[in-house]
Amino acid sequence: MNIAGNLIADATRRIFRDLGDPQALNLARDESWRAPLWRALEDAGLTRAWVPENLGGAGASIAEGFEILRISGEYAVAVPLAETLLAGWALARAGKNVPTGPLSVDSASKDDALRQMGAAVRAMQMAGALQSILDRSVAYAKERVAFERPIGGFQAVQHNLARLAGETAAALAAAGSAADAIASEPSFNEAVLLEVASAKIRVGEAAETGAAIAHQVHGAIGFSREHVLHRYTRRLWAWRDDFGSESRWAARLGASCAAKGADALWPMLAAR
Amino acid sequence: MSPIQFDQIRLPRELQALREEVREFLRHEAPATGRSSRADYNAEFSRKVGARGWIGMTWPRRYGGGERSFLERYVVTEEFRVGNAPVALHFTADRKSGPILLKYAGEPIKQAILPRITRGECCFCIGMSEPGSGSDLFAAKTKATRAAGGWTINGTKIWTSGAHHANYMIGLFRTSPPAKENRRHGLTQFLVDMSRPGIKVNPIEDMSGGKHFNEVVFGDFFIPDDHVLGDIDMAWKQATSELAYERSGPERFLETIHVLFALTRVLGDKPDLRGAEGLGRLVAQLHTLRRMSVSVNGMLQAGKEPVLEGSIVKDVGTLWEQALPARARELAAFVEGERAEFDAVVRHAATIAPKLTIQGGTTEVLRGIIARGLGLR
Repeated sequence: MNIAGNLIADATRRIFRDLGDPQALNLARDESWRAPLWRALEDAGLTRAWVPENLGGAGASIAEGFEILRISGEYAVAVPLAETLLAGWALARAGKNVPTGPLSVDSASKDDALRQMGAAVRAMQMAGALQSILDRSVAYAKERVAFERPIGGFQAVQHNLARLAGETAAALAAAGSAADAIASEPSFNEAVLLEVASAKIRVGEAAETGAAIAHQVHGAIGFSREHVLHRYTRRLWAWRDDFGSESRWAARLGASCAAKGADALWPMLAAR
Repeated sequence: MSPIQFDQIRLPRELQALREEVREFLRHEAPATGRSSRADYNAEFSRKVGARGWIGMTWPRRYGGGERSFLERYVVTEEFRVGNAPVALHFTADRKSGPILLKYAGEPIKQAILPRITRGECCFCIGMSEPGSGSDLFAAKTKATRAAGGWTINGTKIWTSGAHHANYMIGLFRTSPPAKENRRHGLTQFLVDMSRPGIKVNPIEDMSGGKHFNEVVFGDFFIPDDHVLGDIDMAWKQATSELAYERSGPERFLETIHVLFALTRVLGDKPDLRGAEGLGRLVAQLHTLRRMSVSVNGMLQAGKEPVLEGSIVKDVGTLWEQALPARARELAAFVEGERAEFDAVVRHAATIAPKLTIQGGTTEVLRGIIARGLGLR
């Protein structure tokens, strides 16, 4: 990421930290947090990051846009940032004007490029959410005392958290690789299909395992409405289904690999 | 923020020529056998690999190395694994022993041994586990006692892969009792010349029928002073960044890869939905593992220390390659017709699968290391 990219990431993080803290929003009694947060994201140009400057957008790169999405995933905030980014990308790509304000995208769209882009977007948000879940679970295991010691001192808990770290690592690697492929390949070609499908499949699997471990580590408090964890886990479960579930992408990827034959499998992977 | 990071690193496109060269070489020198042959010893093959410059690729030229990048070595390693090449003679020396000698051996030893390794003429084994100490490395008891001009070794190493072929061992021996404040204190690394008297190698057959590992018994075995590697009693400090290469390499998830190829073949070009979905998930998981592994190697090459990420690759990777035979068996359960070859491949892979999460650091040990990386220990 270059200097401009770092500025965008810093701005994203600052806005969410100041106006979109998940724990504060979780305890809020009304929706009054929503407007200031959205305004700040809009004012910073983040909602139209993927719209070129000549169409009134911020003209950020594909990589920078994905970094915004990963950070937004860390906060798991219910504002349509990803949807607006994605809609802006699709409209601009079609050479159409991008209206102002929050936009939405049909997550069951049949448009293949939009479906792949949407899958990569959700994968990146999930990877960000898993990072946050890992941090929160490790921090909780260090402070929660049971049987006269922090539960993070117990081997059984440590090994669960090590597995969560493994799933988070896989999610970050898969989503990051897919984003990189979209940014660097000339079109939504076979290589991008492998990368995007793999990301949606593997990150979706990580979301399932990761959410289960996070809840187990948090115990009863993590099941409560007042604790922030459910904001992450429920969002992970929802994002898994948008733009095609793991199963649907796996069936497509598997059929494509089978059609090319066993001898083509390794060269395809090694080329990535 | 969480300590896990994977830089977006891809193998440079110019390495494609090297990859093609390796594939062409393997087509001639090591036709596919459909089973893991990493443990197979083939002196003629290893010498040809050495002649191509594919052993010690990253080492200095003055010791016979190629001064090439770790990413170039990565390409060779993964193509050798996928091609099931019989690398037992040189792989341990290339991956682990050579780098240890480069770091800790004296100049005469480096000049005498390293070029022989790179020519594929010198086989190494690793003497760590003992009958009473496996994962708990620092419980090792095999004793090194002071003698005139060197040390006398007495005791037994076990599960020593390739000891029956090895010219040398790098062994971990006890030179002092453990200290009260540090139980890891008191062990020293030595270079062991396996051709000297006082050493007995007894083969141990494994459950797959292979005879790759051994018990190695030392009886008043002499090691000269210049064969000490590193500081006396301080071996525990010598686990270095090389460990991250060892943990994160492609050999940590490709050991049963031929099962995936056999599965693709047996499912045919138009599998049913169940077969397609299962195959797609396996491909996605493998692609992700490889992207993680390439990234860790690239970060190491760039001078970073992705220690946590390296341990994670081995943890997730070995579990994946271990589960692959069982997963393939399920997915092919309803395939009728010609499937004898597939069944044979799966059967053989299943018999080597149990070792994959034990050798070179068990899942349990790795998860302890990962937990430490997360700040839980």
